[in-house]
Amino acid sequence: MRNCRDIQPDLSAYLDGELAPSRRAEIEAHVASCPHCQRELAGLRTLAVGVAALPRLQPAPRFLAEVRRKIAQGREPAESISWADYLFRPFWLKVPLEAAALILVATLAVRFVKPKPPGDVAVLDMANVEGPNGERRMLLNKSLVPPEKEAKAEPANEIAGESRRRIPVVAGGAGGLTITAAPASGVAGWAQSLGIDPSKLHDVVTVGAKNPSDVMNRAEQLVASHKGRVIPDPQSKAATGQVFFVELPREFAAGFTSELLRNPGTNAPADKVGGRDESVVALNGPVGSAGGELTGSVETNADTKFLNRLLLNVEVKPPSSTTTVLEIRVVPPAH
Amino acid sequence: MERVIQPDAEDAASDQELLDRCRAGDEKAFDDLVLRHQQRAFNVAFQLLRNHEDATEVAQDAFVRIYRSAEGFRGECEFTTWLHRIVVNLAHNKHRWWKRRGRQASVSLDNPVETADGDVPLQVAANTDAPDVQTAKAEFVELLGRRMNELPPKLREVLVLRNVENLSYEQIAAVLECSIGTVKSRIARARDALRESLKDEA
Repeated sequence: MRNCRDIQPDLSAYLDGELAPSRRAEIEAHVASCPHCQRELAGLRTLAVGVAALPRLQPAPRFLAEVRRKIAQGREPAESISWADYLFRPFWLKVPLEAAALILVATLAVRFVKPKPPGDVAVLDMANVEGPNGERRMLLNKSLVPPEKEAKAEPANEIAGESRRRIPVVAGGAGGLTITAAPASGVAGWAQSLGIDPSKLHDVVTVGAKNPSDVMNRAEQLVASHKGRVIPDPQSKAATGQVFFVELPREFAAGFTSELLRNPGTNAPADKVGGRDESVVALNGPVGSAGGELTGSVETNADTKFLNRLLLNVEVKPPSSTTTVLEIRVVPPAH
Repeated sequence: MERVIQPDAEDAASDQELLDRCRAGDEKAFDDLVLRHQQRAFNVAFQLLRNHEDATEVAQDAFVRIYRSAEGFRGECEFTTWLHRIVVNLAHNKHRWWKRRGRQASVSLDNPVETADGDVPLQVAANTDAPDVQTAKAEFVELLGRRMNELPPKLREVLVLRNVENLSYEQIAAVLECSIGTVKSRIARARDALRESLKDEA
């Protein structure tokens, strides 16, 4: 005699007449003497009869006509689920999940894929502006322009009292930036015509003096001890050196400038000090090449766009040349 | 034991005949096939889907597919097996379609069903019992229908094929393209699940 545990899994197949004769005989022998399995079998039979008694429905009278219409229309049976269903159904589950995945992918893409257009040059468009209390403020815009456009950029143009300067910021290696203050193209061409390497053009010193030749003599005295030279500009007025150039060792440039301005060789005090307002001068640094990673922050007033604070940290590369060239401009002294 | 009567061979043969004529371009033969099997197709679809509109669509689509695939059908199985297979598959797709829309379809058997052709009376299997017994049975059957609707589609379809369509395990295996052992265990599981769910009701 088998126990109920052995019998019950096959009661359903027994009811359906789907067992081999030997197994059927075993089940019948057990059920005949087991009230529990008799009840189980009766329960299963009620269920089977109940399912068989489920209401039969008639198809609609136009069933065949509809089939014919679908065939004539060439409609495909709704056998497959559309791609839209696969993608978006159910909305409540898939749409938020997909949105989250999209944001994640976008975040990762921004994090790991640094777009770096090759050869593009960032241009800091800068304007020196006189603040309401006379203080100097600067306006900065940053934009990316292709190199050819950058090359055409005007070095200086006066717009309504603002002196605008463009500082090409050349994309450097290792994701950093090399900041280069290019000499104004007009001056560069001029210097070149005098046999001066334009890349050595360092600064413009404006000196107030009645007699330009005095300034030039004084400059010659000053550079003589430093193995420098004065390069007069034959185009300049009377060839007296109203505008002339001085080439001298880089490290002596600052000392030379202050010395010349303090004592330009005339009785007229320097009335105008400073460079040509070249942009890097405005940043209190020398004009020239500087390379490295540009870090820092720019804070501007949201309304006026005035620069509130500019923090820059540029690692300066060693100069490629040991000498530098200054452009000396001699102007009549102010009263 | 209650061995079910199999569909007789003569019917199957004439199905095959009709199909052959249909392949030869006899449109009338196809209409005869549809008329002969429309109730079967619709009823199976309805038991699987419990929704009149969807069952109609699935049953009609099954015939559309038979019409299109008649050329490729070489009588590897009985026509009814083929028809059942298509209906079950299309009903499956319908289920997935619902699931993706977070919908559970069901229809109360107490209410007449509105269709494009007007109300279709629901036909309950003939009953010779006394009226009160009939009422109790009808209630039980109605409850059973609801509980069937809650079964997973794979369990529901074996019960429908077995007890509504009276197919043998071998025929069900042919419809579902699985082994007889799978059919046997699925039917046993389906009945267990159904009994459990009815126990809760009691």
